[in-house]
Amino acid sequence: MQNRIAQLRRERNITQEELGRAVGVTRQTIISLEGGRYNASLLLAHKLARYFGRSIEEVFLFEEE
Amino acid sequence: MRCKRFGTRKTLAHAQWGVLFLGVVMLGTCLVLSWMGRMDGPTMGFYLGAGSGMLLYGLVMRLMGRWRRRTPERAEEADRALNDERNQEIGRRAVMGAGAVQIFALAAAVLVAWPLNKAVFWTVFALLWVYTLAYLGSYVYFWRKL
Repeated sequence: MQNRIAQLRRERNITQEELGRAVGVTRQTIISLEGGRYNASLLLAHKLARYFGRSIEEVFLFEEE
Repeated sequence: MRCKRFGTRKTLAHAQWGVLFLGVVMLGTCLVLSWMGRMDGPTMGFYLGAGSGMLLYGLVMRLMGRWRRRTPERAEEADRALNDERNQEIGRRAVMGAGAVQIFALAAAVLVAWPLNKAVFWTVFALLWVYTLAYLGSYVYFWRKL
C-alpha cells in the first residue's frame, strides 16, 4: 500500500519527528511509513488523515490485487 | 471510533517485577535447600549467581525506567516509544519467532533427554505441556476478547 505522507509532510514543512509527536509515534515509524515498509493501523491512519485534514483514502492509496 | 489498547507501560512494569520475583524465588530456593542440606556447591553457585543476576537486572531496569521519565518531556517521549505501534509489532513478531524456536528446541531436547536423564526428560516434557496449555489458554482468552 502506497501513501502520500512524505508529500503531505513536506507541503506542511514539518519534520518526521514533529509529525511523529503529533500522531503519537516515533520518528522511525514515520520513516518506515514513508518508505512503504510498514502499513499503518486503522487508528494511526485515521490520526494521520485527521492531522493533514484529508480523508484516509487521500493519504493512503489502496491497491486492489 | 473507539479503539482499545493494551497497557504496554503496565506490561513492562509487570515484566520487571516478574524478573525481580524470579530472582527472589531463586535466592529463596537456594537458602531453603542449603538449609535442608540438599544443595551441593556448584548448584548453590548457580542459584546464587542467577538469582542475584536477575534481582540486579530487575532493579537496574526499574531504575532505568525512572531515569528515562525524569522530566515530563522525556516521560512523553518514553511513552511514545513504548506505545509506538511499529515497536509493538516488532515485539510481537520477535516473541512469535522466539516462541517457534523455543518449542522446536524443547521438542528436540525431549528426544535427546529421554535416553540420557529421565529427570531432565520429565522436566522438559512438562515445559512443553506448559507451553501448549499457555498457548491454548491465551488463544481462548483472545478469541473471546477480540
